[in-house]
Amino acid sequence: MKKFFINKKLKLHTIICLAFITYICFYALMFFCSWFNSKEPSVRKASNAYFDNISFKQSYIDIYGFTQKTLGKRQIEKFTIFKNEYGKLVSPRAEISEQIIEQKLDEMMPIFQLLTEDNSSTKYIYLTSLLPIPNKEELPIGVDDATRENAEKLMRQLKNREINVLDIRGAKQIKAIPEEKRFYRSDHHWSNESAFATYQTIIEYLNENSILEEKLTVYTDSDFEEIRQENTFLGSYGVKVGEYYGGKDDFIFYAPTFDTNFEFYAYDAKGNLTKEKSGDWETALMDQEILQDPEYKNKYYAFLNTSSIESRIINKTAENQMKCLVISHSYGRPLCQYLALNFAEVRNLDPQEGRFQGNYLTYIEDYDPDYVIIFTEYEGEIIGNFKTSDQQEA
Amino acid sequence: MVFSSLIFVFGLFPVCIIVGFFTRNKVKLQNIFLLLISFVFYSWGEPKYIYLFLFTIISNWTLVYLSSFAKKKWIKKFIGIAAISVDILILFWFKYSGWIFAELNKLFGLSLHVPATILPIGISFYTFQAISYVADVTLMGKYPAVKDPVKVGLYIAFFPQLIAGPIVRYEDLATKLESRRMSWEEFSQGTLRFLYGFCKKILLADSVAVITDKAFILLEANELSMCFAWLGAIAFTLQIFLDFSAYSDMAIGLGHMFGFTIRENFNLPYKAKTVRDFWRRWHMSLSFWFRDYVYIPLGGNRIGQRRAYFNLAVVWLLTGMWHGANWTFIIWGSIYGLLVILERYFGLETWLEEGSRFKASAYRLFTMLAVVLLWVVFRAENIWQALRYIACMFSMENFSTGLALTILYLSEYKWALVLGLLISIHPELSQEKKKLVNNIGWPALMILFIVSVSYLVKGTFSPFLYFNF
Repeated sequence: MKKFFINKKLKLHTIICLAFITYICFYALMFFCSWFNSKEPSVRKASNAYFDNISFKQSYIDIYGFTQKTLGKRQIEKFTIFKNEYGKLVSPRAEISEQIIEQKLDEMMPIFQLLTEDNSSTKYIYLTSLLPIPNKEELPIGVDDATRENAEKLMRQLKNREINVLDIRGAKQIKAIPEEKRFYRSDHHWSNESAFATYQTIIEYLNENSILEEKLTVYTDSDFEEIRQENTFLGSYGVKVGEYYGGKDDFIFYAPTFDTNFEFYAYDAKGNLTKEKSGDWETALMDQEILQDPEYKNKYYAFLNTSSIESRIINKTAENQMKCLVISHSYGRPLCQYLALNFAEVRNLDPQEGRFQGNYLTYIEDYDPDYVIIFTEYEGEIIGNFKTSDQQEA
Repeated sequence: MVFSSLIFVFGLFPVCIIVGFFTRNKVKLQNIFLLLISFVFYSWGEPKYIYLFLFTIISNWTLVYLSSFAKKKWIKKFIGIAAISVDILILFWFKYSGWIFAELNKLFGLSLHVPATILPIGISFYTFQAISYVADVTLMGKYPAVKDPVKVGLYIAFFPQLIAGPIVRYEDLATKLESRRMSWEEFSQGTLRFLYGFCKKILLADSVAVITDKAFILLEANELSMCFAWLGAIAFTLQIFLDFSAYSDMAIGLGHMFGFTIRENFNLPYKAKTVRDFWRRWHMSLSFWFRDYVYIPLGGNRIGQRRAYFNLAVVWLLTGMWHGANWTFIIWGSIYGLLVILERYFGLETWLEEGSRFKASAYRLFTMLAVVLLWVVFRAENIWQALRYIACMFSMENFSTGLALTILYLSEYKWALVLGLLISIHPELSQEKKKLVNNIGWPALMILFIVSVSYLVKGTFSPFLYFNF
């Protein structure tokens, strides 16, 4: 061994040199990896960033969808979204226990109690949701869905608590819309037709039951021009499989043909003003950039100028001085736009998790609306966070 | 890093091809490049274990090289045993120490410190390759020690087979490490093979994996029915073959692209006539490794029947343990060992050859049944889960709801299941016969490749099953 080290000095140096160079190389490698993962020590995140920025991503998703269609597959996203019998993408829902429904209603009860106090001049209504899967038979064999059961359970509890419910599922305006047109095929949202029919249902309900001091004008189809962008809308489900799987939807809205003048203000969670617009109904309330951008596929965001935590619409040509508060998830955006035609001011609060974080009770007391529409039900479930600060502490 | 990731396909892979092309006539330079690329490939998933990996390469090369200066055989062997011991100790520490101490605490109520080790990716594969090199040079004297550390480094670290095999021998790569030519024909064959494996993994293995995962989710929710349990077990039988053989296809294909020849790892395992036959066809590089470095050194069948059975038992116990530190793997390996010993004891293969076709078919069916049931043990997280799963396979509970769900999954994954089955049993469709790829050709494979990429873009992260070992 000694002989080796004496005679092979060069080799020993080579080994040391190699070890040193290797060490330097690996140090550089480690540096590269650390730099690459600097934001979060996860290679997967770095890879995901790479995936997100890959060129032609949407084209690949279209190919994926086309393949799924060719293979005759009716499920996407690992059995969470299915094609129903008439080609709409739907997400079956698991059964919810009575306890969970009770808990959610308990959270909301202080709001209902405030609105039903004897000295309160504010009237309210709780709006049910439309169900995109009314019949299980629409789904492939083996797919279970509890949307209808959940909705029925919720309705029972609402009645037990004597909450003022307007069930739009039974409304004649809704029934007049063919089932396959009540929702977008490629999106989880209801269609413009459903939103408009619900708007008409609400106004007729208010007038028929003399809930407000003044009668409201019921606008009909003849007061609007249908604006249709054919084959432009690919919604939240559709973007997962591209346009060849389930096709695109037409994006439609009804623009008033009479003169209008609106102001629109949007606020973030901290109450800071984030957007301000004015003009006629379409200019002030519809996001024109989204409407005109041929690449932007989720056109639903055009309603109420994309998604805001709090939106305020002021109708400068209103027939009255009444104020309406709509506490609703994203379904409420087109609804608010149509309701704005009948009120001097409509405000919309989004109760979804992580959105409006203020106290609904103090907000209602401060704002003192004439009418409150609570539209927090989504496919038979209540979504959103309604805990008051006391409840949160508890 | 995995082959079935966009970062590899559109990042590292093109770099390899371009640099590989420009260095095609400079083998030494290409070796250095491939070694560095292999380190990048390895360190992508878990950078901190690159030091351990580097230590394994350097320690094995250094000790074997030093042993070449020993004049006495026993010194050479001593150094070899020392090198192998270091390898086994590292493997033991990272793979088994935590589990063994935890089990000791559980069984004997002790409170031994349980080391919180994380299994370095591919440790079982590269350690076995390193041991193979050390044993061949120092203990068996098959060839002299390699002076060039880059060659040994590249042999152990060569990225195509680094993480999930096949386990290659130094002698397989020795001449190619010295001199090789990247021919267009070999390159195109390699690319086709890589593409074939890529598509097989993404389109078939990952698809049937959804069924297996669902079966185990249902098991945990006590909702697993008999029919879905069988579907899940069959799906896993296909998944593990498609997944692992796809990795081997990609490894062999990449090897070809750089002028290396990597041994085949599968030969239609689900066409096996007996359990012994199955293991002559499944993960062949591992079976041969255990045969050459454990079974034969223990005496093989040269010392007598009893000793041969004992040797077989040792080999199968080690085979089970090699797959992981869990009772499921030990029992899985032990049952295979028992079946192999019984088949040998009763001279089953001779009996079947002499018997009728009915006997052969019946035993083939039994073999497949054993394989399917043992894959359930292999897939389960613990023995209790495996037993519950197998119980569900023979129980009538939740039958009607289970049947509807089974129909749903069958209808959604019918193509993946049928194609997977055909590929696993049909010689014309199997890559081992090298016909499918040549027959369907470039255009079809490119279309399948684009479809596979679309699956990846869709966001399915698909690690290979054998990464865990």
